[in-house]
Amino acid sequence: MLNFYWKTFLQFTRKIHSHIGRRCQSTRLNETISNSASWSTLLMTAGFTCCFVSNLDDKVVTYTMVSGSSMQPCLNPIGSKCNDRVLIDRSPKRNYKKLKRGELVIYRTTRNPDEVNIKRLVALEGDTVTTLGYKNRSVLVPTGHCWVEGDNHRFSDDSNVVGPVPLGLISGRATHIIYPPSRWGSLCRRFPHSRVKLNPCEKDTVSHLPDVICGIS
Amino acid sequence: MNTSKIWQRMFHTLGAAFIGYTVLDSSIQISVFSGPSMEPTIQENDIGLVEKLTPYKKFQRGDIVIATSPDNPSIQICKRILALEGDRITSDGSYALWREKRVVPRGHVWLEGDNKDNSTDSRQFGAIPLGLVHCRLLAKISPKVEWLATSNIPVDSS
Repeated sequence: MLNFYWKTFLQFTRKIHSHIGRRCQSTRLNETISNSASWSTLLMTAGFTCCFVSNLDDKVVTYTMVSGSSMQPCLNPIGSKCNDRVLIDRSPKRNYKKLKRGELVIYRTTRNPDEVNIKRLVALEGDTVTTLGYKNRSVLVPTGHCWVEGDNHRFSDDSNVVGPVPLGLISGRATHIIYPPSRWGSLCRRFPHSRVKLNPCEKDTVSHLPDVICGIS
Repeated sequence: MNTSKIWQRMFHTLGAAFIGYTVLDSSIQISVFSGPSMEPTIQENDIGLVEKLTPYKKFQRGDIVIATSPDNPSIQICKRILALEGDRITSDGSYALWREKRVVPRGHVWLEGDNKDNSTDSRQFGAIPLGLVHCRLLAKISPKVEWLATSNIPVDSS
């Protein structure tokens, strides 16, 4: 990821630098003054670009590499030979109400805050989930929490292992696969209709969604 | 003054302002506190300086931290860390699970407000994952400047 940012930053600063440089030359300043002015402008542009990209990455959109097989066949279908890169939209961090069931989300794990997982958000607060391997057969998702599951249940460290996940841990929503080019495309919402009963206060917005395709182990 | 110099000055000023804002915003924050749950340490409408640079592993018992509430992700709560992962909890509370399993799980912390009678904290919602904790309070700026040292409150859980 750093490589990608470095290349973008170099291209951007070269463009700006040549543009500003041309303006300096046209005023007929002497060589030394114009050189130092260009250097400070170059540094400023470099700093500006770094900060701009960092802000964008944190608050608007970023991308990440997916590792592991917990979301097969949706993500990483051939495993670590070619890890998918997905585009992450950071808008859920600003407004958690916009999260929809069936979307892929990234979240900090409850057992290790330095680790970020990507799973499917299958249930929000008030929904009743029939679990797969959790200590309780049926769970009512508490307020402020959600239930996440990997499509490949057998190899997935998700809510079926740790329980409901607080919504505050979610840091983005994965919307598209951007690498490899053969798998370009948007990630669609899927919903396990047979195992999740919606919150009775909720207007039904999931009946049109296709079912989850479970991983083949 | 010729126009290109004006452009340069403008660009430099804007650039410096933006860089300064990004660096500051990612490291510190000024927060206004409300609610009675941390009295007498923090009163209503106090202003404090918080820092966002501490890695998750470096939080200590006694730190006052700001975290996203597990019951409502749009609300930030400010409490003191009383116990880290692996510690035993002896306090009672309405969170029924803690009467049976009294050890803070891996990756979680136990938060309590200083004002025990008037605070909704881990005694009600249990230990929270460290991923919800964002910042640590360094000092109070208003009503008077006070540096808040950690572990100046006796910790009653081993």
